[in-house]
Amino acid sequence: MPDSAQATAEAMDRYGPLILRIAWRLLPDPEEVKDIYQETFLQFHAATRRGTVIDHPQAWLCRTAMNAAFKRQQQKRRQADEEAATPVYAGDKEIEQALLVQQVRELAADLPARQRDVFVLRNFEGLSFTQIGEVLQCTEESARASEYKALQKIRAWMDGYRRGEP
Amino acid sequence: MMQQHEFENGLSDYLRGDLLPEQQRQMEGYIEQHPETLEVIAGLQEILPLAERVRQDLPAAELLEQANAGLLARLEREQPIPKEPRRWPGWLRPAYLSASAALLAVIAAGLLWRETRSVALAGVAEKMMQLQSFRVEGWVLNEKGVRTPYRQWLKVPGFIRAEVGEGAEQRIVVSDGTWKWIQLPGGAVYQEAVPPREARTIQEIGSRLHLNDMVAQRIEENAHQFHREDLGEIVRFTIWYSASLGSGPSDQQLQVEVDRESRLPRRIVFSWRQGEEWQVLSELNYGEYNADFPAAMFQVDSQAAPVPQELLETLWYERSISPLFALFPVSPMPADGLEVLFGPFEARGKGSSGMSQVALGGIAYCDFHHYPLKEIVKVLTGLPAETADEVLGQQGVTLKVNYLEKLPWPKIMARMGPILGVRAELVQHQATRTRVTFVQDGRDFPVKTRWWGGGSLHVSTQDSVSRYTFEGAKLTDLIFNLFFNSRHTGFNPDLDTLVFRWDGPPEQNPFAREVDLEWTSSGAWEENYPPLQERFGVHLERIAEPYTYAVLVLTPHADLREDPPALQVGGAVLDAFPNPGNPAVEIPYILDREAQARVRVFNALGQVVRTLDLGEKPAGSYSAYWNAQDEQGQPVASGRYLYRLEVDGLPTPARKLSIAR
Repeated sequence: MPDSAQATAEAMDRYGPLILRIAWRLLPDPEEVKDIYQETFLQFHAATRRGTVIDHPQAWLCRTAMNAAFKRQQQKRRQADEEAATPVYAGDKEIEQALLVQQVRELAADLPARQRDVFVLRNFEGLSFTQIGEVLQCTEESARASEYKALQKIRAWMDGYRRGEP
Repeated sequence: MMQQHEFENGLSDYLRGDLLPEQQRQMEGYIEQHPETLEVIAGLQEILPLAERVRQDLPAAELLEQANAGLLARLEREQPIPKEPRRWPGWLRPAYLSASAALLAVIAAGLLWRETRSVALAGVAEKMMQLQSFRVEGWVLNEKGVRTPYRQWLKVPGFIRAEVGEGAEQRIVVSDGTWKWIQLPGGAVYQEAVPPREARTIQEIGSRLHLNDMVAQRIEENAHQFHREDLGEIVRFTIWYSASLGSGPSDQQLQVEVDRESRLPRRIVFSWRQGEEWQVLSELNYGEYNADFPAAMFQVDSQAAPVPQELLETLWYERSISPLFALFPVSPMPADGLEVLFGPFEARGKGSSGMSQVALGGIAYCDFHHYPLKEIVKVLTGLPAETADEVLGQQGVTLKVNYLEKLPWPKIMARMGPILGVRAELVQHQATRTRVTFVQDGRDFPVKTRWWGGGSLHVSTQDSVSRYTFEGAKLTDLIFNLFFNSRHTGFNPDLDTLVFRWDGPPEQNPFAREVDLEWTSSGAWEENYPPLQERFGVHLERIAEPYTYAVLVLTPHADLREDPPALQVGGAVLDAFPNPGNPAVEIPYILDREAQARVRVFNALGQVVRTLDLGEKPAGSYSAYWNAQDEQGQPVASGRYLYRLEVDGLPTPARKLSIAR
């Protein structure tokens, strides 16, 4: 087996479940998730074939998957925005809650890259700040600061939406 | 002592209960000393559980297996890696690179042309948009469903000549971009100004031919299918998609034949699906690119007798002819000038409110959703509307209506009044409006200090203090900006007018001079007026004058209310409930005749997700239930879906619903 194929197979084995979970939590659609998953590992394969040395495969794969998922999520949102507003019947707590969860998913996509990555890994993946530091190659303190900023931004945006701001 | 950044960095762990007892105590101490943090905490306490719900959402176990299987299949298709990559001697590299750059450009262009579809179509559009003129010839289906000969010549910037039909039926439409004439065989001419939004150029036609980059990509994304055939000199693209046409959505097919070499279209065939059959709506050949069409082609005999008033009614169809006609040959013509396609339905429960209006060829296509009745009347008639009963005026109505823009209000209300359950009466209201006039006392004043660059106007407000920074701004713009950014001006924008008065020669007009101003105030006009007086010698005069305006007064007449007209095809779906659904959704629908009913649910890509066969039913109101599962019984993903009713196989307008799991 060529080296790149070997490396891809090992990465799939080791990080596949993590990448699938990340994709799912950002865009819970089975077809999209499969596409993101495959795109991520195909890119990994292509990079290793080209001879690129990937020092931190987990970080590389997480970032690639997150970028792909957020890109698709934004495309879907743009498409949805272009359509006429869908009537929403409020009042059902469960539904409102589900909408808020979806809103958090979508707002995460609008964060600056570092804050977004930390927010996703900490809150959606449940990684500790030490693990996040390893994945994103940053200090634990910097990850903590990024998460705080991300939470503040999401909170401010959600308040803005409630006030009807675009 | 804990520092602010330490508090911030530890806050999410504190809220999750992940801190050690000692750290927790430190956090609590900090919060006690800084009560303002409670607001921040409350905000995060709302977000963290929501994020936790995302975390609890796990993909199905088999998804990993499926993703891996697909990935392995794709990896297997990859080319084997050459064991010994070919290495070029150093001395050959520059020559190799320069040659390969040219070669790569050719290959890249070839690849784009061959492999990617929207890019290929966008390339066609780009070519078209560089044209100076072209000719279209073929046939279109007219409003009676008869194939009608059609010829059209287009020339930049906005010249159009279209000849539709033959013999006594022929109409010639000519436009120079500003005016449009319609000439009948007897010589009668109808003339109207072309509204700016309808002034078409070849560039715009190119973009509207669904061929520009963005639109082509959207078509590609939404296309059910996209097919490319190589036919020697010609490449044929066939695109199947769903779009709104006439009274509702339909499956459509666009076939574009492109010259391989010039990459310009030779033929475009447009079809739509009627039941199980595809009906061709137009077949048009393109050519005579950049030909020098004589100017006389785009002129009409302006001495010709005008069209008699009674004939105008029959010209509605021709009036709708536009350059876009090539692509949209069936311009839905409202019967009697106004056609209610859907509704009215009164708003049910809470819901977003909105309207969209598109005008083409003198026909307005309006879609109101939970929109206030009073506002609907205002949009349709162009007149302000009032109701004594505010509840009636604000009543939310869902309605889709097409009408001729120039239809007079009595005709509109004669049709719409009974449908909306109101009578309309035109009443003249008397009011007093103020004419606000700015005058300048003739004194000289300093002009802008910076002589380069354009002017800038900037207003910012912080902590109730407004800061105005105007650099090199025209005095009129400065006054306008200052006035409308001020409070207490006493200006009623619905009634009052604002003018600048200068009686001297235009070249000495002080209002045209460019000046600077930096000013800080509370934003009240009393504070913002002095610099205008002192620095620029500008004074304000207010003159009250009586004003009469017409308003439609609406009164309820419940006995007038007609049943909502159903669609021409005999039925319609209403808002799904609940929306978003989780997991089951009720889809109410109405049939106004006995028919075979079927509801189809589509995903965002236009693919059918589920078909609900509802059997044959007599006329009436019913509900279909969708359990948010696809045909295989698998739960569908969260997201937006379209659903539509099919009555005896004929589609009705689709509506949207969301599934949120």
